[in-house]
Amino acid sequence: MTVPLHTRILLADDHAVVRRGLRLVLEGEPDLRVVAEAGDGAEAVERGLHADVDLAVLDISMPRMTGLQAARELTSRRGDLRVLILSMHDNEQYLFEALRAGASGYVLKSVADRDLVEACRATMRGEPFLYPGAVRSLMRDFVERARRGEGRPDDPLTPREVEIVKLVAEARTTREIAAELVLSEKTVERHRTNILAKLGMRDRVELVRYAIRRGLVEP
Amino acid sequence: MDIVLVDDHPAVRAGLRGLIEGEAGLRVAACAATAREGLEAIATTRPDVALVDLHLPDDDGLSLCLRTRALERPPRVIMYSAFADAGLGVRAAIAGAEGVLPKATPPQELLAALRDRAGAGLDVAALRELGERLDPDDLPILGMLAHGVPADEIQATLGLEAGELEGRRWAMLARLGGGRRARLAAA
Repeated sequence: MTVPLHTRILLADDHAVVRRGLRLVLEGEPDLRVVAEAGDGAEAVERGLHADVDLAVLDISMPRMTGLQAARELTSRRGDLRVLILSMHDNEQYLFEALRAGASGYVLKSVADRDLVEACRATMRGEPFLYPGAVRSLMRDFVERARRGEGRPDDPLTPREVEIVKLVAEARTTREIAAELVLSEKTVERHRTNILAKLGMRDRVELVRYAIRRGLVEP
Repeated sequence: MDIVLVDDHPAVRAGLRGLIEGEAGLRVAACAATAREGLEAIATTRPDVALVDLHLPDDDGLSLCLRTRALERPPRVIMYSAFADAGLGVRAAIAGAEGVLPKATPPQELLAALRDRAGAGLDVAALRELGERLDPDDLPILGMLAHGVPADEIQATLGLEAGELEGRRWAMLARLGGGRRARLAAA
């Protein structure tokens, strides 16, 4: 994605005073422009679906629809929109939820003056933005999961399904896969159908791309 | 009219400052992010009003309020909170605040409250409910504070020694879960 000259921002927070403050912080920068404001999550979704917004900055706790719900809705309906979550919670649970909801960054309100501008720019470059404590939390979580032998956080696929994705992407036939994993061909077929359904994909081509993205096979 | 803002969120401080400085006759004398900085700013700049966030990183806003009100020639204190309920109104009155403004208060109402007066009387049900959790000896204090009777008058009426009223108020806040500081004071 090319970085536009100005990043057009939707600012969503239920407190007018906070919106005013955030606007002051953002508009002090030549490359950032606040083009819309929303006072709750539902309004944010409505406004964020318009093509004139590049980046939605969403407060995590808003009435009608939380920032997390709005983020989920917006990122699933507009793949090109970037989302940052602003939060008063220095808490890893919220952080993980925000990332799961499709946000590419998590900014603490207590340091918004310092971090928000940098977060907007990082997000528009396609990089994630996390505060230092968040990075530590993520690493700790990752290491603990690895130690317990779990898969990636929030992996939609079971370890068995991941195995099958890899084999499918390596262009093995159903019979070969069944033999390799000591399963019946029918079971392998069923796994394949489930995998496609879980990932919302239609065919083997999409599955191969997914496997490459996940690093299961070499391109 | 000089105002000191105490809130740990920079966006809130910036927003309030922008709002207030656009108003004739109102001025932001200082901004602070913690209770400690806040008390220092209030003591040095001697504002007319302090707008104090309930949640501060180093202490709670009610403790800062009580401390502020113990200063010589104290400012009016208005509590500013995301979660404002009737119970908080009562605790704020014990701490000596003029009232509580929810953070969702529309800007014009916020300005009006800073200029004139925040809060319109206390909720009777909340007053009764919290009163039941207090030492009966403290009820006259609660009653007078709820009616805006100044501290020196309360002290004179009840024949309390200097400083004794303040100690009782710390204890009252502690009983009602007034915050870290108040709990320590009561321990």
